[in-house]
Amino acid sequence: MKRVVITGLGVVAPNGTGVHNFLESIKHGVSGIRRDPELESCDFQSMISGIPDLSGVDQLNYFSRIENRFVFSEAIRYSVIAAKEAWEDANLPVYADDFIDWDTGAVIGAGSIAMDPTMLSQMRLIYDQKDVRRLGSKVTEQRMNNGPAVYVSGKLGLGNWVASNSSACSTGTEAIIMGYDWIRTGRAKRMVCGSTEGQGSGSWAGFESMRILVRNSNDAPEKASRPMSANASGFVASTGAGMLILEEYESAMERGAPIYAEIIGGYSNSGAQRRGGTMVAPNPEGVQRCISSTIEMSGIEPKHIDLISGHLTGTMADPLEIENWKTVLNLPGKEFPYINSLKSMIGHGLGAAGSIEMVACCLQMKHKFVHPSINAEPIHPKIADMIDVGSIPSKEAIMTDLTYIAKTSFAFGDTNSCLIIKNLEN
Amino acid sequence: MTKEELVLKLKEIVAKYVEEEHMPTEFDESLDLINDLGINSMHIIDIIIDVENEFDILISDEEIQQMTSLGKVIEILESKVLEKDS
Repeated sequence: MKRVVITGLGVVAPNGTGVHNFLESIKHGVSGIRRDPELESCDFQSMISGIPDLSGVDQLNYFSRIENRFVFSEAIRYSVIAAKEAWEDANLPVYADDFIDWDTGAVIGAGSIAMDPTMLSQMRLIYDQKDVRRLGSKVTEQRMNNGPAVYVSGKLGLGNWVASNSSACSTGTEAIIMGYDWIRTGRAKRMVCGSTEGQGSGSWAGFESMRILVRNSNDAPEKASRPMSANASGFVASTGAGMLILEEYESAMERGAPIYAEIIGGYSNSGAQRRGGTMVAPNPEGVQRCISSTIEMSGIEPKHIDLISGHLTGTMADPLEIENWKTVLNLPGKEFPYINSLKSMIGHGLGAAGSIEMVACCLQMKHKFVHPSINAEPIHPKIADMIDVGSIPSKEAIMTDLTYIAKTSFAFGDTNSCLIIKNLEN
Repeated sequence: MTKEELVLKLKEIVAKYVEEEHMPTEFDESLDLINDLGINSMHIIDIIIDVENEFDILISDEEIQQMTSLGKVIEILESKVLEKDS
């Protein structure tokens, strides 16, 4: 098996577009959650969301004049912007127009890219006005879930496997696992891996109706997302994209590429919606097997993990998630690793979450800090009973060297994914 | 509608789909939509939709096949628009 490292990062997140801005925000606990006029106009009780600010982005650096007029899918825009950043960050060249990089592919997933307001208004042409004839050529490629992946491959000139995956909130972590496996087994030198989610009041409406979005913090958006807190009342919907360049170790060394981390384990499974698992709740056995399989594959001991980047959305599943970790790691309370949730600052990007969180993991490893998990206080009593509250950086970032970070994502449908990365400088 | 008006409107529509590097100084009627103006083949259908909306006509699949150059488009539109106006 080949070794796989991460050599480039790109991100479009609600609290920072571009790695530099994002890094500053996550270091200082800056929230990207804002009041959302669109949700307000649709009579959502949850009138807040996390949407990246693209005002400083010159779209013509990414899209041609004509494309810029026709690309309405935010998921595609986010993906192209983040992927290009990751590509440049990895010191990869801009290829000539007719060059094809047969050794590089992409796995870029999304939960559902076709639920943005523009797409839904296009659909009205069909159903309300019965005017299919006027739909035009640009709906299909922006409706298909691999739209972001193929836009990215076309922009960069990628000739290896180009695919998209969709596993709800586990999508991003899973996309990285898929690319990791493809390189490990020698079928590509590099994979652009990540995930995205566009403005999706259409898909968020389902969560609103299920009453799992935060409804009590419209006047204090930055306080709304409260993973691990006793006062958590749901999750905040958000959008964005995270992209990582995964690369075969030898190839990265030959190029002298910057290396953020090595991926040493990745595993996905399902709790089968049995033994406590349902469409919306995880079967603890499935979660625990997913985590323990990843640890086993990594060849490390539970006590080696320095940081857990949790799924932790701010719902009643948070204590259960920590209980599962506690069971698998089987460490005394004081020895539980640091644990944080990026969602405290940017909300839950659904399909986009795992990859943006993985970008954050790489940045924390490189810059030697654990980002704060804001709004965690007061800590949920069930969590305080299980682990030392010092494991949760609720106030500010903790400056510390990180050798191993574990990232988990759990999703509707009782599916799980886990990744472990290693710092090669330690 | 005169032919001049028709040509002017058509050029406006077509220009929306031409990238900067392919933009001609003069919209000569011999220009091929795809080979000279570099229009993405999928955008041909968008041009047809815009043209149908603008001139309130319907264009058949067979006519689309014939619309290779700017001149051919003008020819087909002219006959359709005139037919409608008469």
